[in-house]
Amino acid sequence: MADAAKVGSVLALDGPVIDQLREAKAFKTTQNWNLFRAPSTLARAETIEVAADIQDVNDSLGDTAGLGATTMRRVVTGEKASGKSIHLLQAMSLAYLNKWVVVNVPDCQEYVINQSAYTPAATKEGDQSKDQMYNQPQLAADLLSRLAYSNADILTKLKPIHKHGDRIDSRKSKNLKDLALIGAEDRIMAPRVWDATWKELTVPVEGAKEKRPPVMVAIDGVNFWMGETRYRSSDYKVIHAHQFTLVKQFLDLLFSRGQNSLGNGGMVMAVTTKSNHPITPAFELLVRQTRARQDGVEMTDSSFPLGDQYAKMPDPRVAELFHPDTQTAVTELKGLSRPESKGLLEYFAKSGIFREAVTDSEVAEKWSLSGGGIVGEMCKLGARTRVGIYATGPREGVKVRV
Amino acid sequence: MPSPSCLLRPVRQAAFRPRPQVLKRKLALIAQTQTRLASNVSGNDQKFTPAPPGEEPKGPNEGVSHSMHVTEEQAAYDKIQGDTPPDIDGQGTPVQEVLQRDGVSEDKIPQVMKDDMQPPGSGQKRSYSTSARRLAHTDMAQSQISENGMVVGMEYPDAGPGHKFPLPDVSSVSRLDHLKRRYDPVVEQVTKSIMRDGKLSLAQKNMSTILSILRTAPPPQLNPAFPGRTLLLSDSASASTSTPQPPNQNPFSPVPTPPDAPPTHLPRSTLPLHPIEYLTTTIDSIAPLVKIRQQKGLAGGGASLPIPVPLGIRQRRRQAIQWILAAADARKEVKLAERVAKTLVEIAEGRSPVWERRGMVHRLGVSARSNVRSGRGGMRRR
Repeated sequence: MADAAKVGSVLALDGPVIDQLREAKAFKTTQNWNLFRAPSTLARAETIEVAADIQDVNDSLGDTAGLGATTMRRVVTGEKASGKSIHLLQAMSLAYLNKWVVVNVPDCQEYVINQSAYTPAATKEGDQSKDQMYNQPQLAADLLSRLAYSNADILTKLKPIHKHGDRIDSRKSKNLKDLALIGAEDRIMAPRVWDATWKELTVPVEGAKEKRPPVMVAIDGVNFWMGETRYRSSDYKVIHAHQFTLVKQFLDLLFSRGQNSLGNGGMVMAVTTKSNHPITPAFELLVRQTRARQDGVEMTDSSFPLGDQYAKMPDPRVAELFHPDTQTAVTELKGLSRPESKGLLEYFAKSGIFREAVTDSEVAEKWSLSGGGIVGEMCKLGARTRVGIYATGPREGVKVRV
Repeated sequence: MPSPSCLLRPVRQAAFRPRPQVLKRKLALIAQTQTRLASNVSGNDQKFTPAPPGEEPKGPNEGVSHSMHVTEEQAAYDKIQGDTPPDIDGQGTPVQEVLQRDGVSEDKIPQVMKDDMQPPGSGQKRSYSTSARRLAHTDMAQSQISENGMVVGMEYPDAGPGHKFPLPDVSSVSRLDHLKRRYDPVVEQVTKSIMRDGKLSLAQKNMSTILSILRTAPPPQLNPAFPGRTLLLSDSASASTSTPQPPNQNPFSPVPTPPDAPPTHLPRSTLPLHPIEYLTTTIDSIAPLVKIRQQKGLAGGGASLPIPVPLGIRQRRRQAIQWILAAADARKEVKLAERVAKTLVEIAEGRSPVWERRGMVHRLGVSARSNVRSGRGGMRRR
């Protein structure tokens, strides 16, 4: 998948990788898997970029634990059905193949719709002025469960090296998988166990010879975390998404706020969702501004995107995410190129689903009809059934495409 | 020819000249009558005055000398007038025809007339065929008739014969270009059978799911327990015995028309790749050919008589679809699309009880085939 010559070809996923992705809940029903016997993905130019980034992280790691560890931070946007979730799945597959530890948040919506239990987190001393934070025990337990089962091979070989308090240390977990499963099975312990596991994975002991693997954090639907939730406090005030500990932790990591980074190296990739998404004008504006800055547009330029002067004040918590020190890159997924779309249609044709001959004119037609090569639309066109073949009959059927 | 009896009335159409002998006698009689009338008008008695001496009163026909019979007289008239009847209508023979008939030499014919004359052998070349279905190439042959470019009967040469404007080119227009017929007929019929409360788009979504499930299903295998339950495929045992019939291009030919539900020409192993063909074949295979109508009171003792009635293609398919949907509702899957698709797969593999239902209808139809005439006609014989 990392080979640049493979752009435009559809590559099958290995069996063990498929099992790991399934445990991590990376497969979704919206991803066009149901027509095929074995899952395969199209290698795009963006896939090669992710593979190159992972290789860069691998290459930067030094001999001892934590030496030279870099954290790559990516936010991926794009139109509806442009292949963002699949892009995340490809990144996770590459991480599994490189023997990384993968933490997956398959659906950010679960954290904000008030369908999971929440408890107030203990405020630390001296933090009276700050917001009341909340834990979500069940969601932490699910996170630990996915982590433990999808990375079972790697985690069983890693032993805990930090101290986490009596409640956890008294269990004497032999490896990180057992540690994670404590929280997965016991919901009340889950937030603490999550903190412990996270510390084990991302805080190296200085100078230790045993290196811990890099961590890939995959987040799908991050725009759900950019506004208010359906939760209410005990005073019946609306709780903002950033008041939840898990959400705050991941967003601090993504936007490098505070000292939050992956001590053993790795990548944080967050993907937005365009279907059934909340209205988040502040986040969208900041994404546009970041992209403009990446493209080299100065803030003083007339074409630099500015917010609506007459709209409401943008969400201050969201606005401060993209502070000047962030190294978060924003990638926009556009339509496929012609060789990529040809490769995709050939895959559909070889599977017996697309019955036309894959000529250049046919590829061009499907490219145009899919809005300039949007992958999801092209898959729909490739799988289309219209009129059947009719020999004779009173309904004068005409032979058209199947 | 005016008869002698009309001599009393003034003769308006003097198109002939009668013989002088007869004319004299007629004139004498006219003079006699006129004097008689004049004497009456002058106020004399109404009594009949006796005829002048020497002449007896004569009737209308008595003054004429009938030396000949009427037919002989007629023959004599014809001889005078010539054997050709007179041209009473007033239409004269065209001069060109007279010249041609009489064989007048060309130098005697005026130049203007020579220019207008058509060469021998040309003339009305128009086909008097009234058949509406003329092949295109014969039209082309007819339009290239005469050498000097005169095409008789084609006032509008751009159009075909008998047309003023050219007919539109319909070869590029297909059935699918009609808005209301844009879907496959079987798919449309099944979709609308699934539809509830007028929610067509939901039914179409379900239909698309059914076709996707058929696509990913394995090719249907024959059921060895029931060898008679075969699909309507061209490579199945039942189809191989029948002779292949050519598609009927000419509706007037005596060759029998092919069946409404022709066997599918696709091999069985590739059926899932053509989900619409899979669906069509399954429905046409399970569809009954007849329905049984119960006619009250005809069987004797108040019992109703079963009468088999043939069904058209759409009626057969509708019955098959109703059976399929009823069998699908008995399944345990939650989604309608899954239930219907799995019922179709079961039917294609010959495992479904719907086959038994079809067999029952056919058996009853066969046993009641003699009742077909009983239901026909208006009056019941007492």
